[in-house]
Formats: sequence, structure tokens, C-alpha cells
Amino acid sequence: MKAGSFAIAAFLAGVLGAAAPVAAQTPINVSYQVTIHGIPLQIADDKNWWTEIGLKPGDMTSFAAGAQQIAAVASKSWDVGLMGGPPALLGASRFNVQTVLILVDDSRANGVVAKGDQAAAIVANPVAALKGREYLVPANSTADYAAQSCFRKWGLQPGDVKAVNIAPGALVDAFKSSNVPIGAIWAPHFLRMETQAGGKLVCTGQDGGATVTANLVVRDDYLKSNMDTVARFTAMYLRALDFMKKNKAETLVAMKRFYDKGGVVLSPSEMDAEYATRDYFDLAQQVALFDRSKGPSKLDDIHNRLAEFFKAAGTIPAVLDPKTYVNPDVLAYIEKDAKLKAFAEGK
Amino acid sequence: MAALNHPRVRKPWRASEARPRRWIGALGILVLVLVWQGTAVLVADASTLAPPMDVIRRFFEMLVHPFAGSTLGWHVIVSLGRFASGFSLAVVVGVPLGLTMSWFPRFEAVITPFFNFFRFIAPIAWVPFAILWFGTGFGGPVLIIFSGAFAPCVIGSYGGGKLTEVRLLEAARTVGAGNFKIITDVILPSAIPSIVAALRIAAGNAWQSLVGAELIVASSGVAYTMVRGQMNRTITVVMVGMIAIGIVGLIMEWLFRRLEVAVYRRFGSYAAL
Amino acid sequence: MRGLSAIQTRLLGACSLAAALLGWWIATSVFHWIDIVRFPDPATFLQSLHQIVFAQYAGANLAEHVASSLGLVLKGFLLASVTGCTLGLIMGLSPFWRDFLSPTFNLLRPIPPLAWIPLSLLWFGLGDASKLFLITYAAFIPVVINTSAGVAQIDRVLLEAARVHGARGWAWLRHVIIPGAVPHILIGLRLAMQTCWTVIVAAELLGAIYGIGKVLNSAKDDVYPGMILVGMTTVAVLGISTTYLLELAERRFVTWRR
Repeated sequence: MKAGSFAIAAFLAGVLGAAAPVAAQTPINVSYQVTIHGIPLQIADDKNWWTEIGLKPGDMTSFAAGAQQIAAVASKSWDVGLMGGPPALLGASRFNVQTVLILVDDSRANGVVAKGDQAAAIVANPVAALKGREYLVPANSTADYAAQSCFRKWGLQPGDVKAVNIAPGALVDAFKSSNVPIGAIWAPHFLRMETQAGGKLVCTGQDGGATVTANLVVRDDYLKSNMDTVARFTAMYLRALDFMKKNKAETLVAMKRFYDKGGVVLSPSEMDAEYATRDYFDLAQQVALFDRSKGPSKLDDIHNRLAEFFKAAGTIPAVLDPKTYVNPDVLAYIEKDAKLKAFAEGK
Repeated sequence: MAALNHPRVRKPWRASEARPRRWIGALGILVLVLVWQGTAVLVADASTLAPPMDVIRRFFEMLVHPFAGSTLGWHVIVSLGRFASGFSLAVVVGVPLGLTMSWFPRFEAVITPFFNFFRFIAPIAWVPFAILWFGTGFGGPVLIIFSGAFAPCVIGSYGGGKLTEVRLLEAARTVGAGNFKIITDVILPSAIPSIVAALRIAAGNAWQSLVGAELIVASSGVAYTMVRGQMNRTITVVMVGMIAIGIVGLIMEWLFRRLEVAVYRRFGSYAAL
Repeated sequence: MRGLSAIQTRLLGACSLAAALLGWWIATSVFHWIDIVRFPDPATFLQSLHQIVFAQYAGANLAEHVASSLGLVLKGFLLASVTGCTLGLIMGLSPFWRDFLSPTFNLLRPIPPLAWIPLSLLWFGLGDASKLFLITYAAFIPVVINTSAGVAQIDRVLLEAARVHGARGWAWLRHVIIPGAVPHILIGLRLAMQTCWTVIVAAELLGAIYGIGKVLNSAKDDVYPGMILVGMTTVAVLGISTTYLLELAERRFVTWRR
């Protein structure tokens, strides 16, 4: 049936191609979250960049958190996924998914929030205040990594503070109504833990000395047979990222539209913080991050540290060699293709 | 009946005898609403419990304005679509299985251990495998709904099949009916009242399972709006979701009761449940 | 030809179970028809079981997780049985209370217990209180419905006869009403037990500190098929054993009544 519809599509494309020289539009199935790194999809939509680069949105599936996105790899529910670095690593370990681009630097947007009345005690003596207690966190998320980095910096051993796995949406409520002293989550939720649940931000991923990234990942088998499609998608994403970096006002408009559609309601100040707490990288910066010409790349180091955390937590059996999943091929492909490169750079 | 005319007997005390006095019931609902309103105003803050009027206003607002991608009505339709698929699959598989089990003891002996094992797995426990096998595709919620509705279908049709009168079965045998014919023409008609009763229970279970599935895995549907409401910390949306789920559940139950009544009229009332 | 002896039935059942286990092993370990990232093979299953029994997973070992969930289910079940039976009796006996409460009850009843999870989390937090609320609420409904239906269906002649013979108050309740309603009450209790397990698994899947649902939730987020199967098997075994215990208790109760 698939082959049949493909033949029809090819035939139609042929007919249309004869009528007007339009490049065939390849559908690509994307999984994303209603968070900052999904906004480039909205921008690309608004600017009609999908068509321009010869793509069209296939199944666009939104997930609440990365761990579920990874579970959905087994059923090939999506081709490319936008998610945090920790689920991307989990995916590399379980299904060999490849990281081909850094969506944003999330280090400042992931953090640990403490109950207001306990914050001072926790900052003063974290080991005494937290050893044997619990923390709320969506399992295997960027926030979990940020939190564990903070714990390590505070001198707590893995297992000293017990993770209570909870969906991101339920975390603020759970924090408010239970006696768990701390919770770890990403923006904008941690702002809400401060404003609505009487919490106080005590440590971000950056404070903990960790670089928390969000990654563009691709299913291994899809990448092998669709390098060109993935490169086009990546170039489109880079262009939108570049746009975001340069046009805050328009980005906030796109953000509002994207979040409204996804059912996420933010106040203007929360949206401002959403934008301001992330760092964005353009093509040249991305290439530098992935560069292995002088030994391990910067991303290799970041992911090695991440993998060590995961291993210590028992989630993955061994530290993977970053070379097997931090994959610079797509960027190299864009660099080589003058048209794609110009597109990615917004020219 | 003589006892009824006995002078010492006072007014009939038994509940089902008297017609329900509606004003008392309305009073009960009024008390509920007042307690709700009172708690919302006096005890809880706006993010813990919303007053009834706010929820009702939000309910009508969500019928018109899209939230999380579509209007409330459309979310309900998406949920009903999932429900219909999972539920009909459970009926199509479960009812024939139950009938066959009731006719072939060997088959019953082979199936029963599995059935008893799977029956006790809470439908919601299928969530992890549902994600692993289907992603957030259509199949995941359908699997969970199916597992909620399946057991009542099997039990109802099996129990109904067992109620088939032996002389009917013997008569069918004497005229040389085959196994298939016996199941479809003799056992099935006798089992129908009990199957219909089971369908109502199955539908209730399935609807509840759907709510669980959407709370955990889905990215659309009526329970998913609750997840988003929770994420935004807007309690009104969460409560609107609950009410919408309740209304659909109520309508569903009413429809199945009607069906039951119609079937009882047609087939008599020897239900197994 | 139709009947099978009890031994034959058991033998067939055992054979089919053995065949299924063998089929599982062949499909996963021998021919790899099923990819083990989607469904575990027996070896992975046993490894996961070993890990959670002797070491720990999701913050505790299996015994602790089971103890937590089982304790909550039993507490909620008992609470709901006592309060539910009482309310059911009241509604069955008193026309006023029936008329007063049943519309409210019918209004709340169609909202499945699982839909209360977000509110319960907000009101009672992550700990036992929230789960206890959900379980009790869930189990309460079938108990009330079946108890009041049980009272309502007691033969009227019998009741009046008892009255005539001077049965009043506690004795009347103890010897006439309760025995008459027991078959229905038992149905309600059995339904309640099943609902309890559904609810606790769902509630723990959405956030818990311990419990069998938490095991499933972590296994889901770790993409750990072996542990998922361990969790599901545990849920089934717990459901089967509590229902069996309930049946034992019923039999005891029925004997005591006579």
C-alpha cells in the first residue's frame, strides 16, 4: 500500500514537475516538545521555509518529555526528534539514535528549586539538609542532569538524594502540596515554582558546572538512507535559530502562537525569561562544537560527562564512545553544499 | 402480600417503593455546590480549587475557543474515536472467544490460565509497552482501552453461553448442527442479554482506561487537556476536563442501559451478570 | 465428550502455559522474531527480576515497592468497604437519604477515579494521602451501589414478616438486612478490589515515591523492557492474590453467618 501511494505521489510529482518546476516536497516525521526548541519549527512554518527547502511536515508529534520520545523510537514513530541531551544519550544507548545538531544551550534554564523556608538551610549545608531526602524530577531529563550536577558540587553522592519521577506538568503541583524539599525542572516551570509554589531557585545546571544541551537527534537507519533530507531539515532549523537569535520581538510572537497551539500559557515576563535563559548557536559555532580535528570535540567532552552521570545513576550500562552517536556528518554535508549552507546562514 | 394489609404496617419503608422525590435530590446537589463554592472561597486559593461558576464559564469558553490545539468538542471526538476503536476490537475478539470457551471445554481449559492472568493486569499497566510498541500513535491508547474492555466481554459472553438450556443444545445436536452453527444459532441468542450487560461494564472500564492512557501518553484528547491545564497551573481547565469526561461517561451509560432494556424486552431477562 | 474432569482441566491448562513459555523463549531467544528492545526474552526478564529482588530499582527493592502498594490498597479497600457499606445501607433503608444523596452520587459517579488524579495530586501531594484518597474514592462507589441495591432487592414479605415477629434495631439489621444484602455486597467488594489496583497503578505511574506503579514508570522512562514485564507480572500476581484472599474471606464470612 505504501509502495502504491508512493508510486502515485511520484506520478503526481512528475505531472506537476512537468507543469511547473517545483522541487518534490519530502515529508519528514518530527517529534518535538512544546518548549523553546520547538519554536524554530513554528518560525519555519510561518516563513514557508519548509517548502523553500523542499520539505513538508509529516507526522508532527508533541511529547511532554524526552524519555517518552525515546520509547517511541522502537515503533519508528518519528524520523527526527528535538529533545534534551539526556534523553538523546538514553536513545543513543538503547536505539543508537544520532545527535546531529545542538538546539540550544539549556544550562541556565534547568535548575533546582527548594522550598522557600528550607532554601537557606540547603544552601548553607546541602549534605545535612538533603541526605536521605527526595527530589522531584522528570526521569532522564535535562533537569535531572542539572540537579545531579548540583548535588555533586554540593558534595552529595549518587543515591544520597532519591529521585521521585514525575511528569513535568504535575511537578509544580506536587512540589506545592508535598513535603519533598526540592524539585528540578526547566524553564518556565521553575519560575512558576518560585512565583506560585513558594520555592526559591538554589542552583542551575550552569552553577553545577554542567553544560546542559538540547539535541537534534535522528534515527540511525533513517539517517543512513536519508542524509539529504536530514541535512535540509537541519539547514532549515539552523536558519530559524539564526532568525531567533537576531529577532527577539518576532520570536516572542512566534513563541506565543506555538505555545497557544500546544496549550502552554505563559505570561509576557515568563516568555521573556524563556528566551533569555538559552544560548543559540549558528552554523559556524555548531561546526566548531562538533569539530574533532584537534582531538575530542567540545560536544564529546560534554557528552562524556553526561554519560558518566547516567552510568553512575545506573540508567546506562557503560559510558558510550561519543564518536558512535555525536555525529558531525550532517553539518559537514551542509558545509559542502553551497545552497544549503547559504540557506542555513539565512542568506 | 397479606402482611402489607396488616394494621401494624406503617408506610412502605423500602427505598425502591416510593417514587424518588426530586426536590430532595435537588437539595442534595445544591448542598454539594454550596460546599464546593464555600471551600473554594473560604479555604482554598484559586490555584487549588476553582469556584463552580468559574469552571462553568471556562467550560463554555473551551467549547468555542481552541485550547491545546482544538476546541473541547473536538478533543472529545478524538477521545471517542480512540474509545470506539479499542472497544469494538475488544467486542470483536472477546465475545467470540467467550462463546467458544463456553462450548468447548478443552479450549476453555487451554485459554483460562492466560485469561485469568491478563485479566488481573490493570489496563493502565500496559502503558509502558503501549509507548514502546506504538509510540504516541493510535495503537497505544487502543491497546490500553482494549485491555480494559476485553475481560468483561469474555466473562459476559462465556457466562451467557453457559446459561444456554441443555435441551436446546441437545435438540441442535439431534438435527445434526455443526459446532459453528450451534455457537451462532443456539448459544449466541441465549447469551445476548448477558453480553449486552457485559458491554455496559466493558464500556465503563474502557472509558476509564482511556482517561488513564490520555493522562500519560497522548498528545490530544479530553484527558490530555487536563494535563495541559495542570502544566499551566489553571485548575479550571483540569476541572472542565473532569466534567467533560463525566458527561460523556453519563451519556454512554445511558445509551447502554437503553440498549439493555431493549434487548431484555426482545430476548427475555435471564442475564448472567 | 463435553465434560472434562478437574484433573484434565488443570493438566490442559498447565500444558498450554508451558507451551506459551516455550513459545516466548523460541520467539525471542532462538529465532529473534521479536526484537528484545520491544519485548524482553526470558533471560532478560529473569535478570531484571533478580536485580529488583536482590538489589534495587526505582529507589527500593521489590518487596518494599510491593509492601507500599499493597498496604495502600488494603487500607483504602477497608476504609471504602466500611464507609461504603454504611452509606449503602443508609441509602437502601432510608427513602430520605436515598432521595437526598443519589442524584449527587449519580452526578459524581461517571467521573472515573483516574480523572481525579491531577486534583488529588494538587490537594494531597505525592505521598500516601493522595493515593489513599483515590483508592478509597474508587472502591467506595461500587460498594455503595451494590450495597444499596442489595438492600433494595430483599424480599419485602420476608422483611415484613421479620417486623411482625418483633425484629427491631440492631437485631433486625444483623439478622435480616445484612444477610439479605450480602450477595450483592460481595459483588461490590470484588469490583472494588479490582478498581483499587487499576487506580493505584495509574496514580503511581503519574508520580510516586515508592510502589509498583513507580517501578513501571521508571522502567518506561528508562526504556527497560525487562523491568516493564517484571512490573506488569507483579501487578497481575498482586491482583490475583488479593482477589483470592477476598474469596477466602467471603467463604469464611458465609460460614460464620450460618
